[in-house]
Amino acid sequence: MDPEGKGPPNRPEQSDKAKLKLQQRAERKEAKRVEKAAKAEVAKENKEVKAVGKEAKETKGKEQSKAKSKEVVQTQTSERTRKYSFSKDVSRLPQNIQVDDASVRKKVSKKLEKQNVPERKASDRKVGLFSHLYLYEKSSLKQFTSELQLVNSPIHPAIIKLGLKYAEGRISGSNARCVAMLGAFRRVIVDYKPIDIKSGARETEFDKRKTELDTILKSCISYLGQCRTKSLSMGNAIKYLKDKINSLPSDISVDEAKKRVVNSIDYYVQRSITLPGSEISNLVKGKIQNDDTILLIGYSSLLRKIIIDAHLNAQKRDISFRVIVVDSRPQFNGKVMLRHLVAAGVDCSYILINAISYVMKEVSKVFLSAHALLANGHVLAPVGSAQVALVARAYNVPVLVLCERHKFSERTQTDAFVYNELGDPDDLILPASKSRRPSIGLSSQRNNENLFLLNFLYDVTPPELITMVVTEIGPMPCTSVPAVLRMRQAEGDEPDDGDEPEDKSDDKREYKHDPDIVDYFAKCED
Amino acid sequence: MNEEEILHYFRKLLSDHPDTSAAIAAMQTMLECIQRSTAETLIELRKNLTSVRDTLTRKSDGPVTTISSGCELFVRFITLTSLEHSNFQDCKTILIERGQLFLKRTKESKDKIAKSSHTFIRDGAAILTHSRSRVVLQLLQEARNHNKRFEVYVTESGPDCSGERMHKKLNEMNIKSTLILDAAVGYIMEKVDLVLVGAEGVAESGGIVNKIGTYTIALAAKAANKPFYVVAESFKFVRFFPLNQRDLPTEFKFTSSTIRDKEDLHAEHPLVDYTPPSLITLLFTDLGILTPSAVSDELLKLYY
Repeated sequence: MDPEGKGPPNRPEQSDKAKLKLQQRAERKEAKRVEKAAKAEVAKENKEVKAVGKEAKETKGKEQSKAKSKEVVQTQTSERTRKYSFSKDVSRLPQNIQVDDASVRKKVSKKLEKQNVPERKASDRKVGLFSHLYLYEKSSLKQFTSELQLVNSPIHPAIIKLGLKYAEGRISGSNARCVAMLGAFRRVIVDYKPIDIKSGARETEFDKRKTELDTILKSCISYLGQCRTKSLSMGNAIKYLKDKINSLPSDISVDEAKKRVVNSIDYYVQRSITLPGSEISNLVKGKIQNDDTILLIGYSSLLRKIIIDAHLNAQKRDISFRVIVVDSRPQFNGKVMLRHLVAAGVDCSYILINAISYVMKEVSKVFLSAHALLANGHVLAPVGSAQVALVARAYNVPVLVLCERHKFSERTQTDAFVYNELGDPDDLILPASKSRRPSIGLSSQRNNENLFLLNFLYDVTPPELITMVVTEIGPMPCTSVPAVLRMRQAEGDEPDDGDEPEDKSDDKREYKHDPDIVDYFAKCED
Repeated sequence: MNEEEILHYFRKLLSDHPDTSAAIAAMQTMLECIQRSTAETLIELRKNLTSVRDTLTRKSDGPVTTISSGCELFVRFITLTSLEHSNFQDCKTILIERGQLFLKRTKESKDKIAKSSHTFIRDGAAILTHSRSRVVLQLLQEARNHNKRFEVYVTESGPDCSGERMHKKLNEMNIKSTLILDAAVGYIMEKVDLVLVGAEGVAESGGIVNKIGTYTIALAAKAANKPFYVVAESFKFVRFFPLNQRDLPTEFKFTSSTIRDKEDLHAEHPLVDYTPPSLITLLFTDLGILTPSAVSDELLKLYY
């Protein structure tokens, strides 16, 4: 072709202008196309909304004809269903996984305002797949705490302290958070002084106190939720506490009621956390054989207890086993586990999660802890557990999940997206060091618009990868979770009712062997 | 009853009725023990029963898995009632009644299973079975009574060649049967439509403990996509959850005389192996036709 690249021989400027015109025309076409597409979508949506609205209206109509007395309520709900046609089903979902729905966020803000709890600013720069979850960055903590009302606040200072510890990650782990929260609530109840708030004239004195306490607890719980998303164990504990408070007989004094609730809290910790821990440890001791190699991942207070007990037991039985601790970024929780185990004299090795396929052939058992056991047999556990279970399955290594019954949930989930917790993305950025040039690495790219950092905290392991689950009632396959949930409903939850509250100070001595629990209870005694 | 009397009674039952399962004989021994017992309190009676069970599992040479699970369930069943009577004789009578009821139910369990599960054997089916199992025989008999035509391949099942006795029995029942080598299971797998085995014990995981060789057959069946069915009575459900083959306790793997006499058990052939629940399609029991994961639910019901 033309070796000097002159192109079309005449009028180079014109060709430039022509190019520009073509470009502009193309752009205008693009814009029109996009507009059309958007309009079409909106039209489709409107159609859908109308269709569902019509359906809803029809069903509503049928209901109206059946229950005439509820007419007013019915018309109101039918209006609502026409506007937010899908939210009637969606409203049963917890609010903290509907963050991408603006109406839900508005509701949450209103609720927090009513309860006098400041709202923590959540980040919006999220990966699309996880946009339904809250993303709290540690940098928003400062603004949040500056808005806290410290004088005459509905939130007890023990709770404020606790929330900040959660937000900074100083208290982490399902059992630790639950026990710390119960310790703080215990303090709240012990310090509760009846204040006079307006209530209905027909309410008795006792009911007034109950609603007061309820309001206080609600604010505390919302505040803790703003600091860090509630864990499942915390949710179960709160349900239990609310049940206990609501079921108090109305003819006792406030002091007496306080004593009973405090006793219930102590009882719950003992019955759901301390004693099951010992029982599980007993059951697992027998499964450990001579020359076993056990793989652990991250840190779990329950697993630590089990391994240390098993080590003492092994010395008695004259057998030996070793432990491999698997660790991963960004938390490096395995280092904490390693420290505890080495101090107890257990034979330990330490690897990062990248190396599991190398060591798996030497491993005889994998012990996993769980954050929650779901009703369909899946296990919600700290991120990395599913990976380890998968590799173990490939090498035919049995995987045991060790979990107390209070972590059993009626939820079902098959993937790790629907419900998860997003951690601070800044944790993924390695701090700048002399050896690493600052221009390489994520810290220089933090404000890049095309880069999203994703740090999530839990993953879901399917039951086919798990050999057995050990709870305090014994070992069982993963698929028996619904049977246990049914049992729990049948047996109810009780001890401690209406009897003379005994002096439970002796029980605290039993906690002494578990340093975590003693710490938190000691701190709330102050 | 002291040890010798117990063993004597047990062995007499087995020799008089060679077709009874060892577990039923054990339960009858326990019942006899309650009747003859001179205990005056429930706790002493319980101690006696525990000692009977220990004697039978450790001193007699019967299959340990079935005996121990049968005895434990027997004790559980008879004590799972209100025993709030002031007179100990009354309590004893109640226990004996319940014991007889349990025994009756257990004896009928084989019939129940046969009646509910024979439909799984279709006309023209080829069945593979392993070693000798009375429940499987009864099931096949029931299918035969319903005029089904089928043929059975039986493995020899060393070291005691119990498969040969099964083969003989099947021939007596007019069922076409072929004796094959244990090693020929992979070869025969493409010819069979389903695999049907008994069980010495059903573990809490839903897996089974059965004559050695069962695990291999289950693996071959899984690889060839053939259904693997287990037939077991409910008294064989054992409160025991093995993780892998190594986890089987020594009392299950070897006869009690071997454990007593031989010093190095590594050189001995284990008599049983463990088949994990992932390889089992369905279990036919007198509690119903269960998937392996339902076994644990049933056990929770039985024990809680």
